[in-house]
Amino acid sequence: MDTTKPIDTRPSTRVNQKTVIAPCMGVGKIVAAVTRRASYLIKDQCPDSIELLSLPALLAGDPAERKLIQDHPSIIIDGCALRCTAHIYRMYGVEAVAKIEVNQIMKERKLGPGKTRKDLEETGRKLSAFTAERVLQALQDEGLSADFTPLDDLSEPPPDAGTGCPHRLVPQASSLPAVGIDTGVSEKTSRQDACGTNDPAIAEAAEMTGVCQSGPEGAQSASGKHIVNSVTILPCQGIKRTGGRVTQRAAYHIVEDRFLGKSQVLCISALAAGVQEDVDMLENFPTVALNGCALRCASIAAEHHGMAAVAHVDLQTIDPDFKGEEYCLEPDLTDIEANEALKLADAVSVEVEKLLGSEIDWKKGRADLHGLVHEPGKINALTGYTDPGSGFLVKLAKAQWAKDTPPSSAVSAAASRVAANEVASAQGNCEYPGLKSVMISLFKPKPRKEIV
Amino acid sequence: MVESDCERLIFEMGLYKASFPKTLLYSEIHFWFQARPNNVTRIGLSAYAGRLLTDLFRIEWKVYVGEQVQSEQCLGEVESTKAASELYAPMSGKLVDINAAAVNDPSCVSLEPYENWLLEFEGQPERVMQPREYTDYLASGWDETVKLLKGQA
Repeated sequence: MDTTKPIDTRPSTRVNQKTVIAPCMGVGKIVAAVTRRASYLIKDQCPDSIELLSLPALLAGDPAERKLIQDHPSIIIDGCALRCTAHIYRMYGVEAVAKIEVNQIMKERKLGPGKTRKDLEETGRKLSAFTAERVLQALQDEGLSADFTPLDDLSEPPPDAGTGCPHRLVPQASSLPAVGIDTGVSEKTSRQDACGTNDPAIAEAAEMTGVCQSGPEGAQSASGKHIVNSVTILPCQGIKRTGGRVTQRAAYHIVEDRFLGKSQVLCISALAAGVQEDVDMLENFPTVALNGCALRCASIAAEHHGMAAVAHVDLQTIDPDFKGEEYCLEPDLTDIEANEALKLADAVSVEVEKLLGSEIDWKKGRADLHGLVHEPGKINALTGYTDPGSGFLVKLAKAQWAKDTPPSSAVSAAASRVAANEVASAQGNCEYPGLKSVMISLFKPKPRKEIV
Repeated sequence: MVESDCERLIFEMGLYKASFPKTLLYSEIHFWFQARPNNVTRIGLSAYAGRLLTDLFRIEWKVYVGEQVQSEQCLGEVESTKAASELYAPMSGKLVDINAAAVNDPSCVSLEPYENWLLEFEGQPERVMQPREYTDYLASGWDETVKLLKGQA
């Protein structure tokens, strides 16, 4: 448990009214990891009045998660401007009582998220504490959930939000193999070529530049089969059950350490929100689903979007003694979970090794987004973020921030020093090997013929 | 590498397709220009710059409305989750307006670079590029940029 967090420890005044905290809990961006950790910190401060929402379980049709957002007011924590959680809520027809975005906290605190998502650096941890602090401030507001009325059922989504995905109770994908390759999928039409690269470090640069580290993403063999040169890793990435936490870490082991440049990690939240880059990952590369518990949210997500995983690795099959369905709400991965993640990564590596270079009955195709068209530019308006009057927490935060004096506690002072260092070294916070060089010259006036 | 439809030119930055409206003019330091009434020019960041910056979370201007700005003068700084960079004036003129919405929520610039302008100047830019000229300029430097990004240059 982080002992340095500068969190308001006053007890919640609404002891009988639970509030749902809904982080984007993504796996791609570092700010998504910040939302995840912030949620644990909030839960730690208000264990009785807070419930965490697991988006993958909600999207898989888990009745318990559906009931949570029906019965209780929600506070959304999105990591970035893609605002996947806000978008998913909108698809359910549920209005959150407050929304917050880590980007806003970064701007106010002049604090970057750091460079790693696997284990947040000190700056990312501070950012998660500041985010938690802001939400806890909002929880003190008696009026926050005054207008919230429990819903009888989740309403139909607005027409431009899609027509089905989260509203259908998806059956358990029990017919799919628990471990192993299942390649008899997809007869969709070809869409577009893409580069089979990964998102961290060099692979991210490769994605940006279009220069693949692993060669082409896969071609058709003479027999019409798909030659696999890159795979998409889809962890269930749950936030409450320990199995979900393990799959996320195992996915990072695969894409960052073991198959860098030959794999990429796909985020269930972003996929459900229709984020194009994530949709591309599902459409262009065979997917390996990592399931942390019997809910099998990862396998369900791929199947539901019309591009079933070609391989499924279930933690409960790998290690029957590990209780993946049990809750773990520690802000950071426990040693037991970390060890389990290595075991799972070993099992996933076997499947990935089998796939890479092999020929399988798989074709690139179009994911089924159930009518959803993700238009980031519209989401600002649709989710009320850019209207200062619509996002209650945003409004509250601005009002409070204007009144706030500089942080006075030792912890806050330390955080400020971290912030200053962050800004000073922002040039060094590049995940691309040469991005610093590019950025230095990007906006600088130069002779006409000079490159970049 | 460069595609086109009736409204935009598309420059492929790997998987990402940066688009450039044909109705705008561009600068070599990756601003777009839009002519406004009363001899006012509106500027913003191009999609190319937006992609390299990724998620913007801070825009800080060192110039003020009413100030006479010289071309290539430092305007301020932008910071994203990837990097920080100073911005320099792509034109001379009196600064007549700052888009407060972009300062308050810089992420909107990352998402919709052409909907979310940055500054307005009185005057006309001295050095501009037509859209095709700009995408050709990007294409001519792209291989070198790739090398730089990969740390091979």
